Amino acid sequence: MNNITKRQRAELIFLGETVLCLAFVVFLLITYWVVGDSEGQPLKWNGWLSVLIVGMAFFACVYVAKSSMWQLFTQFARHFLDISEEDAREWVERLLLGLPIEPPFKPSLRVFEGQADPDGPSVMFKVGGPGFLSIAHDSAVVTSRLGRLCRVLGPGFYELASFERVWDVIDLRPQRRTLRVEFMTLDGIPAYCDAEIRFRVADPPEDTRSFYVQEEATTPQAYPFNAEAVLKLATNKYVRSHEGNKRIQDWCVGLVNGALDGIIRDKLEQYTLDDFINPRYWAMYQDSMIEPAVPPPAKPEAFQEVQKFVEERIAAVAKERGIFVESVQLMPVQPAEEAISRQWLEFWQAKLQRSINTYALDEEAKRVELLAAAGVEAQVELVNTMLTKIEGLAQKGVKVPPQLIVTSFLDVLRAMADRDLEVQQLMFQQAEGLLRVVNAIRKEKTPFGSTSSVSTAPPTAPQLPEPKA
Amino acid sequence: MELWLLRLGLLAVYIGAYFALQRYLRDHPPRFKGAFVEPLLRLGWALLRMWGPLLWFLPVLLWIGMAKPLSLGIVLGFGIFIPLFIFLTLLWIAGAFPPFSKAKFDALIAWVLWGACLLIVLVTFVKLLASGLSVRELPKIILFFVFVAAPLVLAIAWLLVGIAEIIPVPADEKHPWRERLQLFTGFFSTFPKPTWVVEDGAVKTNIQGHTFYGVGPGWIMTEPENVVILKGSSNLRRVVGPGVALTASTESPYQVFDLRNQIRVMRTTAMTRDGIEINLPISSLFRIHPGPRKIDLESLKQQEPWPYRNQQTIFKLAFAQEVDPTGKTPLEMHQARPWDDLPVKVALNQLKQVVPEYSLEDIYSIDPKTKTLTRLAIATRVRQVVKETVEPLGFEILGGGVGNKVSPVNDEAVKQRVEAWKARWINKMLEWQASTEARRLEILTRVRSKARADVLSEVLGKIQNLKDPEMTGDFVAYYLLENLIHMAQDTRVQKMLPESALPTLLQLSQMSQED
Repeated sequence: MNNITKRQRAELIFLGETVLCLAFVVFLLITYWVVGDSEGQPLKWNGWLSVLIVGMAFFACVYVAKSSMWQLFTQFARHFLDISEEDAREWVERLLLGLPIEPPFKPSLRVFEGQADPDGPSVMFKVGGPGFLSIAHDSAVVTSRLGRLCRVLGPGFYELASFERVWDVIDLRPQRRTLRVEFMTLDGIPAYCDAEIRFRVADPPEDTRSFYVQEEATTPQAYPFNAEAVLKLATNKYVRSHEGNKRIQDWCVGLVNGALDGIIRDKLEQYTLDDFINPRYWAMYQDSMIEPAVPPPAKPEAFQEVQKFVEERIAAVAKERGIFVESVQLMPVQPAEEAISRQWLEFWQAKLQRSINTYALDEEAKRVELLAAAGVEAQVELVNTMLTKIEGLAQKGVKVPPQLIVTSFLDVLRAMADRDLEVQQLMFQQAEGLLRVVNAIRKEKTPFGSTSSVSTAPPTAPQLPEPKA
Repeated sequence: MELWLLRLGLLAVYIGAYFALQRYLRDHPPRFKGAFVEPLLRLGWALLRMWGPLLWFLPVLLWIGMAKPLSLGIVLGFGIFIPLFIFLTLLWIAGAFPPFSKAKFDALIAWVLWGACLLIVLVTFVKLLASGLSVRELPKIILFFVFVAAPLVLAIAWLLVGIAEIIPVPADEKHPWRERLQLFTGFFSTFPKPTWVVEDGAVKTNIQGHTFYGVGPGWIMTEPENVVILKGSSNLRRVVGPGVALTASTESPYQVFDLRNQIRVMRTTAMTRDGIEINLPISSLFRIHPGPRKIDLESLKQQEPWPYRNQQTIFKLAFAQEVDPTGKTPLEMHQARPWDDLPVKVALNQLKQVVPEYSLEDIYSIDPKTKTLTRLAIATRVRQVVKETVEPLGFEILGGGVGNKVSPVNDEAVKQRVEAWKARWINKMLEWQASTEARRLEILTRVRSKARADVLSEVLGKIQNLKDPEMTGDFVAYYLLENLIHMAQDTRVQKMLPESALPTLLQLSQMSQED
């Protein structure tokens, strides 16, 4: 008897009522046919009419008995559950007769995109079943019945028992949230860091996952449904206050504003602002300088450390809550606008950039240009120095002996070697060439009857300055 | 006039009256108006509103004359008073009868009425027997009784089936049928006990009624995450929920307790050791102690309610609520602050005691003992005190602390730090610029030096490559001058040389050739 449905029970009662009424009428007719009227005479037509009227009255009485009770139920339910007259009547019908077994399946509450359809039947929100619940592929539902949590339902079409209603809906789709974490640096500067997190309900455990795996031919399950995680998320919300729209902190807000915010702040506050804003480093990093300034700027590794720490911590916290974190991305730390304005930073960064551009020796064109310019400068220097020594004589029309020219060249070499280490090195490298020059001079007489300064040099080697290194 | 026509008319009146009455009753449901309703009147209303719509006394009139013994008296005696007797008995079971203890006179009348019905039925029965009931008429009499009783029995059956579905009662209720019937009847008596539903943490009255004298039990349903303390006339009686409960006389909801995790956040100001007033947030995460049970799929299967340790815990929390008129209007100043304000309040006081032990510098620094932020160390200290203070009251502390930015009330303190940072930053930048300049010069020197060496190397290299072993000074000089002329002819070099440079070199070259 316990196994019969409400609809079967109602059909049985209806059948019983009909049988009772028919039986009554049949017995009534038989009785009056057999017994006759009160005098024992067979009934006349008007007597039979009276009998029929009594039979009809019995039908009416049975109908009235049932109908008036239903009317009482409707009246009571309307006030007991605080619903409209129409809702109460339909609800009582469903309660006593059961849900329809053929379409249209009404009332039906749709749950999709992480929420119950706000335009759904109000009685389903207020009282709950009997009714139908259609849960889309992207949502999961926890139901309650008479003040107790009842079932955790994944995507699908369900019948709700009497008083069973949607208690909470969990969105199974991946969630992305952005967050601004305001904090004070270790050196007391207000700063902020924007963060972005992508997460979703945790996958079901491996051993239960096969239950949800679809056959290859069918459409795969869009989002994994983990009943345990869904229940955990629904029951671990935080209540913020007694009133207000946002009095409940849902699982997404709980993870982002509750956990992630705290983890990031607690970590970031362990660093100074300079750990995050190192202009030299960023300039170098952005411009890919080959030869950075000396000493090289400290790489702000703090940021990478924070990123890694936050990723690990939030993943652990989320796992405990039944959430899987797909990614966490921290944006660069910036000082609070009201403390250090962006214009100020930009001004100094621009200033910095100018000097970087000026000294960006890594750019090949500039390097070549500089080298060429230096080559020209060196040639000019050589020509000028030589000319300074012999130009006066040449202009006076005095004949300049070749030895003087060569000696002047050697003087220039010596002067350059005195100033320049590279030239000194060259002297050593070109010792043979120089020796040949010296030898060439020695073969000639000096124009002034005396040997040049090089003549005092040893015969085997030119007179060269001592190298400094 | 033909009897069948009268009967037909009566049937039509019965059906018409039924529909008219239904419409009227639908538009005029029983309403509790707040005023006291006499017990006898309640019984009358219950009888009228529950059983009146059956209009049972009309169709039985059709039986007058349908059988020899069914005279007007017998038909009325049975047709009206058998159902009435049954209705009154049901109403008695449903608790609609006035109690002797409170309304003796009304109770007496009610019982006299019930007795009168019984008596009339018995007398009518005797009269029926005395009227010389023949065997021939017996089937008609039986059909008459079926006619009178069957719809009634069906109505009662529907009533019992219906209220079992509509009115949920706790599973451990000893007499669920009676309680349901009493609750149902109470509503139609127009003087019921109230029914309440907890919605969004607040108690909402669905059926208005009288807690003390209303008919039937009261009824309350909480949300899965709530419990409710019921108060009696002058004390707190018991804790009900989560779920459905029936309330006894004088019981009404006193306060709802949310069993879910709670978070409370406040901002406050405190003075640091160095006299700087800071604005800092304080939060507390807590819940009513859940005891050993937890919510999981197994507990759902068992239909277990949301866990809490025990009723004593809830009572303790209720009694721990404080009256604090600070910041309240004169009307509200006698109201106790809710239980869930306690942890954050304790935390707040503790925070104000702890902060003065630290300077502003300390607060932003890392605590040398714990190697964590001082802010977190302060939070740990505060949390410890909160735990020690409120957990004995029935709380479970889940977390909390100084979770957000701590900033001085006066912006100057921050400004100074910012200016210092800016100065440091500029200084660093200038330092770096200087070092870069030095580096630049160094690189330039190196490049120039290299260029110089390259030029000389080129000249010397060419001299070295001369094949003439008997090379004379003239030849070297000539060769040198040629090289210099070659350099000077370069337009870039020429621009940087004095105008006389090239002619001079050419002149020198000429001289050396003449030689």
